[in-house]
Amino acid sequence: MFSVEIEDLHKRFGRNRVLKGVNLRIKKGEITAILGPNASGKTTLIKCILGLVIPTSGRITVMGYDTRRGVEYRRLIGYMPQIARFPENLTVRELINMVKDIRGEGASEEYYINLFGLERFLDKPLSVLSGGTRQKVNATLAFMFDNAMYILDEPTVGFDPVASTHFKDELIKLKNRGKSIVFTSHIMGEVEDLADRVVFLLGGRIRFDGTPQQFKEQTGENTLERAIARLMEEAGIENGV
Amino acid sequence: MKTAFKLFKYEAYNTLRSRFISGYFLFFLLFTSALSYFTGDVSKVLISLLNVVILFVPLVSLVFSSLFFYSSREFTEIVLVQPVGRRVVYLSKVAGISLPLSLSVGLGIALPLLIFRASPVQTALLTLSAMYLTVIFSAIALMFSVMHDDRVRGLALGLAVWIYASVLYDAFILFVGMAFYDYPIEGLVILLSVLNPVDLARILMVMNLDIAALMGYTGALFTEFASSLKGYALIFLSLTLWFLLPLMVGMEVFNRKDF
Repeated sequence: MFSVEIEDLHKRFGRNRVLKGVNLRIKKGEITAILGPNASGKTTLIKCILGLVIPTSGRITVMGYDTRRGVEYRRLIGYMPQIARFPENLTVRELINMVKDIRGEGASEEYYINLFGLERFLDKPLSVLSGGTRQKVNATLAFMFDNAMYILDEPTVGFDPVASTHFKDELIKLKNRGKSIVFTSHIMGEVEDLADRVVFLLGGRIRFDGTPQQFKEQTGENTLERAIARLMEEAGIENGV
Repeated sequence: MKTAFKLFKYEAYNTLRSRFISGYFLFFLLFTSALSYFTGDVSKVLISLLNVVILFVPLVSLVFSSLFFYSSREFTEIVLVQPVGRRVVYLSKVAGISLPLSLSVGLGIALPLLIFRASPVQTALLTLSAMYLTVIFSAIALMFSVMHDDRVRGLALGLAVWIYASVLYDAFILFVGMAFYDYPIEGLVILLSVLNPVDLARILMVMNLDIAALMGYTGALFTEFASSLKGYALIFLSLTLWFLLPLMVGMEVFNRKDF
């Protein structure tokens, strides 16, 4: 069974066609990196799975649940958005308790509070936290529930090297426990370290879907960065850019 | 329902934590107390307060609700990725912003008035007017904020409604009155009042102060037409519709919105 199945997904914002027929299946226990230049549709794709963006057409199922029918499937997903901004007046502890309360589930927040060293920030209002600390709060919110899958939008931006290392180790642990992880990133070293599979989006279509090794072989390049550059050049020539 | 209440609790808590809300409450508390203390004549205090309420309360409600909505967009996203329906999220947001705001103005006015022994009926009507105007203009501001991601445009549309209701409307009524001086236009003017929540709130108060003639043409008309149950019913029904309509439109837009 697949964690996520996407069939012929289209999304249009006014005249702007952002996704043009995306088909994708994400397996359980796999870390998938969604790559692509700015405005290639990565965030829109992720937000369609989460129900934040409503698809123009196409079908998405998460663990067999059709995302158009009800909201309960979101219980299966932990999400870390790109920019961590929170209600200014709440403290970290209040925010964590609020999300737990809304979900009505038990959570292992203590573990992640320790892991990211958030203890001394628990009673501080979110408005006074630095960008990196907010991102750690964000990660805690995404990981504290025992979800079937995790969706992370440029998760390590703002992390210091220590937090980044803890974060990556955590992803591997989750993967080994059979969880699916989907993340976007512009940091290719991170992708090479973590991803079992790379999906390359360009102009709202999937241009490549396979392992990082296959990606490099197909383009004849040594690094992912160069592989992406090559693919973009080829696509540019194809499109007559 | 349980989830809706939980969400409302957090939204309201977040709003109440804002320093502005306590400042707003204190402003009305001190202003009403000072007016009552220095003026002595309760009906004069009520008229002064009424003028502040109909001009100031809609504007503050619009600006506060709109800015609060835009600044909590990421918070909304956190809630929307939880297993909660969008309509529930929106309703708790509207309630969480507008109720604390209306309570702070309501209590700020009612407490000193009661202490200075104003008539309980008049106090209740003024407080209700202020609270109605707060939730109505909050719902209007949130509707425009949901429709437009650009906060300048969202806020500007709300302000346009305020300018219409608080400034242009009176000039328009004056023009209608002068242009159709020779015609029986009472019915038309009453209908036009229904199209302006600020005027409705003003009439509600004026009807009870025996100074209708001083407060404009529509006030005088309504006192005649509506010192009855029918008049109150029409005013409260119209005010309720003024709240429900933007609430429903906002909720449907929110339900289909891309975040």
